[in-house]
Amino acid sequence: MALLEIDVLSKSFGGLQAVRDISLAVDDGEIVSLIGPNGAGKTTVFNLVTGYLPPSSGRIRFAGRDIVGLKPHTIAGLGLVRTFQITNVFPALSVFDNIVAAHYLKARVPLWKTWFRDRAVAAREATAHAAAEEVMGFLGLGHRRDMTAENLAYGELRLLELAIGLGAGPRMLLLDEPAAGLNTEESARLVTLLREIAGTRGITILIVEHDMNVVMEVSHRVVVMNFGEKIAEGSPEHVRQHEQVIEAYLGRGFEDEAPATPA
Amino acid sequence: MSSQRLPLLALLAAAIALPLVFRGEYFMHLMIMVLFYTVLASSLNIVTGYIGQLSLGHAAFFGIGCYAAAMLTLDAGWSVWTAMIIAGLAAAVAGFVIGYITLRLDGHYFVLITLAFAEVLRLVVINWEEVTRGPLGFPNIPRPSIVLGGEVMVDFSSKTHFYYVALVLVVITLWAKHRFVYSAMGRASVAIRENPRLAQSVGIDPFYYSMVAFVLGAFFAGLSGWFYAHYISYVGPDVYGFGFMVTMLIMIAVGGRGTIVGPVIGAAIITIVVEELRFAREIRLSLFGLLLMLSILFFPRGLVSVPDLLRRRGWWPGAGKTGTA
Repeated sequence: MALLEIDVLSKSFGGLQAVRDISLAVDDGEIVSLIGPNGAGKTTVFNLVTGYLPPSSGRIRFAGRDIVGLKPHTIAGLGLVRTFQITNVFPALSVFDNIVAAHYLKARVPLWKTWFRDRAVAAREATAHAAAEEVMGFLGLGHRRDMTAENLAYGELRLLELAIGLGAGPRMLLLDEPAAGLNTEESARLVTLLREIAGTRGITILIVEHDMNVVMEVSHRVVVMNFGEKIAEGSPEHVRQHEQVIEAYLGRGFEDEAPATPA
Repeated sequence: MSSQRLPLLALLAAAIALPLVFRGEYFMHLMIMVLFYTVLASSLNIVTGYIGQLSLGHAAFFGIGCYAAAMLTLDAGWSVWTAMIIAGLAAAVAGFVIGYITLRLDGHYFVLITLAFAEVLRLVVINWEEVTRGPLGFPNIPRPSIVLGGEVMVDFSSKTHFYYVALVLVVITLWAKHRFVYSAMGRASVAIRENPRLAQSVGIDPFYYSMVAFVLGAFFAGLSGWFYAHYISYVGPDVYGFGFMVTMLIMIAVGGRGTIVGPVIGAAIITIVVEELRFAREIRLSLFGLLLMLSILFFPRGLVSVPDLLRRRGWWPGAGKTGTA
């Protein structure tokens, strides 16, 4: 059974139909990419799925449960966690505090226990801190532990976003352009990390990305959008050859790796 | 983790010993006002410093505490100590209602509505004379007393008695705040302050935690109102005025918002500076404004950040770490 099922989802902003009848299913353990030109509606799909925007029509099911109308924090609590396109961290906090704050669901206790602590509270705190250490080590941010997030280099900032996403303990991650602004080396590292997140950690990933190298390398399946509609879906090889996709997005020259050299 | 604990404990020991060393009436009054403002500014800091919402209606909760204390002891004849609990709870209930309405609003609207709330309460208090005695207010609010076995043990005829009550309130406030800050709840609140959208994406409900902080802040503002009413022994509509609001905000800004020690430093410095500037007569408030501007210009994160700044230049021992509570 699919973990995330999107059924004829639509969203209009006034007269503009940003998302039109999108259907999409992501299976447990899959890495699926959502690609398409700017303004195709990819980020809107993310906002609809994670409750940041209400859909105009359509159904969204996560782990068999209808999630339309739920608040973003409730959806995150179900294990469906997103990152943002524009760098989003807790700027004034240290790297470690960022990641600990992201482990909120692990550390959360009943209100009154904030003032009257018992062993259970200490145990949850310890669990959250240990989990944060683990995530920090996994993403190689250990040497930046006490640095304030706003002082991080760009590449590390993007890793911290990923760490925050992982901190929420997701079953599924929606990553909005995680490779944007990364250099070749950093995006190669991202590819390795994404494979580990899906493979070793068993987290399903839906990713919006413009970096075609990353998309082609990590994706089990690629979904292509243009003007709010799904125009193609299939394996990376299939999509690469797809006439409409080349027309709308990839451009000539991407389907064969060696473009003809002019005379 | 709780890097602020040691200086706080040292400060507490000094505060307990203080009346044994200095006994001047005026000095005691000054110290009492410092403690009172510590509770008040700390209560606002829970909302403004940790959730990051600029509540300009906070003086209303202080005012509710003041009036609850005055009306319960003078009109209803309740004991001063029962009035203390009710004053705090009344402010907390008001905080719940107002927070429930306003915390759904975005930044600017929140600021305006909270400001309007305090102003509306002030007008109600001025005009509803049968209940609130209008502009005249409540004079002769009774002093507390501690009675044990039919005998008056402490009659609060001395300022030192008030001093220790205020100190107990400060300790309760700072303890509650310390627990709040160094908990999952405190971290969730700071996450909301730093980035509400991102906080939601990791499962934090901004509305819930804003409510908790708002009600908590209102409760302690109410407690400080109770203390003010019995110490000054007079309460009038001006407790809802903008004066207290501005004072609290300045104390937080100067001391360092979003820290536990910040409002303590702010309360001490502002209370004392305003007193010491009395010699300057007409230009007193202008001088005060100038000092405020300089402070915010040079220490935007408050005086509490001064050791950090010095450390970075190597003028203070310890590693040059950056970070907030």
